[in-house]
Amino acid sequence: MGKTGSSSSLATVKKALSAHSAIGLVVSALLYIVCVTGAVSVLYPEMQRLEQPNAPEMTSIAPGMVQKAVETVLAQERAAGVAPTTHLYVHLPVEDLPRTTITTDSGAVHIDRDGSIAMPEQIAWSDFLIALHYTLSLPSIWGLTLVGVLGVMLIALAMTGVVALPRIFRDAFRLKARSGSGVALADWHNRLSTWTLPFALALGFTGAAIGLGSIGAWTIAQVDYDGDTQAVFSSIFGEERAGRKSFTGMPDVAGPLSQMQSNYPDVLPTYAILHDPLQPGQHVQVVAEHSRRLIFGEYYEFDAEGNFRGTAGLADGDIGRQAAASNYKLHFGNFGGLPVKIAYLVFGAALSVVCATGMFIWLAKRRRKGHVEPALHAAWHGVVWGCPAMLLATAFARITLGNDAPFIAIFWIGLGLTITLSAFWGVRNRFKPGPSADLDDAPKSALKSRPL
Amino acid sequence: MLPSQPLSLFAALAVIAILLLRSAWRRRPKWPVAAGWAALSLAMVGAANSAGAWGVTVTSIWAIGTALGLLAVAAWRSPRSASVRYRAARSTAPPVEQRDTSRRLTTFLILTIGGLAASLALALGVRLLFQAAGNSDADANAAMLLLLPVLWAILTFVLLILTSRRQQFVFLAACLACVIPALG
Repeated sequence: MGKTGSSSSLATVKKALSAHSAIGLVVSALLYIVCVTGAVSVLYPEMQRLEQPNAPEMTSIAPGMVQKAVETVLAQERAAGVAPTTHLYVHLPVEDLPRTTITTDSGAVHIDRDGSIAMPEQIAWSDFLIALHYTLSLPSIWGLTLVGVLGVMLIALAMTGVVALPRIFRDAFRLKARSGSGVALADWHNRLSTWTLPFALALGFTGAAIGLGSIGAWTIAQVDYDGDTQAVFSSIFGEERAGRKSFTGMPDVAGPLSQMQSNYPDVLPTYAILHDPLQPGQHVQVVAEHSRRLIFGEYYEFDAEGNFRGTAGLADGDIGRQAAASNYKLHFGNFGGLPVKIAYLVFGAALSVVCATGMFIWLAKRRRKGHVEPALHAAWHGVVWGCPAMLLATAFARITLGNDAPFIAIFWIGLGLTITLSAFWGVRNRFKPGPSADLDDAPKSALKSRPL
Repeated sequence: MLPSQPLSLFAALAVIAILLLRSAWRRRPKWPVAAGWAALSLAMVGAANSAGAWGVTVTSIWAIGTALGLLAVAAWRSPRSASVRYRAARSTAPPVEQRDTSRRLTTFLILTIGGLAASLALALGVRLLFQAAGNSDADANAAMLLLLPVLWAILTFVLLILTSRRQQFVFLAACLACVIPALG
């Protein structure tokens, strides 16, 4: 009985390990890129400040000055003959990004403390990095879905990894970091993945939920909402309450912002959003953060004449609303100031190391079975070192070529070349992986606890 | 329920719990290990009581950060062992056959297309249960959207450990059947 149970348990471990390897093999390269870019993207606001250091900064801005800026931007766009913007976003100064910025369908400008337009926003590199993490530079819906699938696979990797590691707790602090054999590689992979497990699960889950939201909402829409996907999202995040059709004058932004100060002094307005400004049905939303909450904020709804019409219920409505609204801050790590961001940066880097070492361990295992693959081994080195190197190359391009540098081309062509040249180099020189990638010479006792 | 205490108290308890686990690791007696896990659980419950999901998240970051710090110390103290000579592969493995490639491609399609369809069906079934239990549309729809990735990950795991194609297809069919009441 005991033996049967033990062999059954061993079989489960083997199957889980096989599943872990299969999933990792398919997704590791893209997952690694998403992990590296995600770790860096935590500092998105700080990077924006670094990228355009001369933009005006302020701790707060008077509602009247916001109104003046909105009117100026709308007047300028109308005078320029630009198609009316469907949305106008006013980013209000907050601790990690103390700037006022107005974004429309056709551009973005920084606003000075007196409500005047200071300069165009120029943060193309920061935006490139975020888009790389969100969509891997693919068209929005396809990229977002692909990254969502990677999130699912990250959860599956975590699950199979836990089952494949029966001594997960017994070996929880074992780390022969500089062992000359493959023990070090396996130890780094297993220990980092053990202790970042809650982080990996949270990141995988929230990332997948964000990325696969469109597929899920589309499916619900087909079943219950006559194909109206927007209606599905509205049921969770609140409906847009269109204003009076007859009012097409200048929308009141100062009024809602003043009401927020007087009626909701405990919340922090982060955005004012004008829907269809100067068009029939225009209305205003103020997004405000709630202290010590994971929700990205609450929508405070106003009509274009400044009359308050209610909230969406993200802070105190149905639990489903609160849960869905909590996905974003949990994923992006912007819920506890710089200390939490630094923690996310470190944990994200650890997750990237787990991705990188996982593939090296698989390659070493293949080699022990007789599959000598110098090209593949060298190509994986190309991915691991090429990704951060190309990110640095794009940053260098931003400094030397400016805001219009072709970041996407530099990154992907550069990474492709790095991988290809590494593979050629590996074949030509019969690349011999270092001992750290090989478990052959590790003492047998040291390898007993390891699934690989 | 614990009385509401400052979150810093529970964050400190989480740090102490990890330090306790480390100090008791691979030593006797074993009770400090149990005490460490108990303290960690208490810290999480207290954090939830003090500041909800935000509190649990912040406390978890302290715990993970402490564990990674301990790993960094272990890495720093880890002795460098003698370098190991590269050893060539013992044998040459046979090349991958065409049949292997087809099998792997089929597995990939089962996990992606089959797994997505089955998890959507299951998630729709869960949504239906939420609605039947009288929950709001917001709760039912959010439940489906949030469960979808978890279900897909679980299905991926289960499909990969099933030993035959037949088992995989039967399992997928059973999951897909969940969509029938939702469409009715």
